[in-house]
Amino acid sequence: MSYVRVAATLLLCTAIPTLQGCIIIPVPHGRPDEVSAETLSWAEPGISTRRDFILKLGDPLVSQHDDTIFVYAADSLAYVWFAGGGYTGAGGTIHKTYFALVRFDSCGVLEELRLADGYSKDPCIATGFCDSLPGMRP
Amino acid sequence: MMTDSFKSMRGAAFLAIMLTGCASILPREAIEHQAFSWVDPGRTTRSDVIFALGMPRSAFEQDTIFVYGVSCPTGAGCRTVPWRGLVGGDVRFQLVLFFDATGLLERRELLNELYVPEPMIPSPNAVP
Repeated sequence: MSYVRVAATLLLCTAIPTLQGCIIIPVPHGRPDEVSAETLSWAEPGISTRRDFILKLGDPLVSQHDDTIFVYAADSLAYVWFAGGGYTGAGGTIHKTYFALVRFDSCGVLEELRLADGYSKDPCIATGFCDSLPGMRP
Repeated sequence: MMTDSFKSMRGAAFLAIMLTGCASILPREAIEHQAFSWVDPGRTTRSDVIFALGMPRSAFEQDTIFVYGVSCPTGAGCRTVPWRGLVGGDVRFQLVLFFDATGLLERRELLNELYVPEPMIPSPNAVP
């Protein structure tokens, strides 16, 4: 038996029991309106204030540094998965989270606004914009 | 042999059974009017709000801005909650209140909840 056949047989022997009944369906999705560039186009550095953000978006998911950094988040469904084999099965959904990272000066006036996204990536660590978020695994 | 009318009656009965227990959710404006119309700008004070709703989920700018989480279970009344979201199919909002320097309510807004994390993340002010 050639090396290729042995490798292919081993691959099949591994793949068949592990991948049987496994399916991942991508779901068409987009950035939620609340944290999109279009929806946040009203925000102008030097003009918009912390009060404006709370009035339009409510309280942030996380507030840091005496409320000078706000992190807003919204997510959308990205994938539906199902895995089954024999008499057992499991399924679930995978969401993609979108973030608006907002920095104010000491008077509460907007200094900087950035948009980020990720499945499990901490946007604060990834961008260096803020301290790590609780519960996120970079 | 089934007649057409019998078939349509059977279809209607099937739909009625399947839809039992479904209740429509009131629009946000209606919920704001029904549950929070007593929170009246120009009349209600910060003390009134705390007495009725408890401490807010978040407070900003020397307590001149309060944010409450609001949960509206299907078919039941709305209530304020200290957490960002609840387990289950509740409709979630956030009640944002702006007070002036004397503690008098200036403005009231009911917004959609942006993000309901799993597991739930308590806000810094949350008292479970």
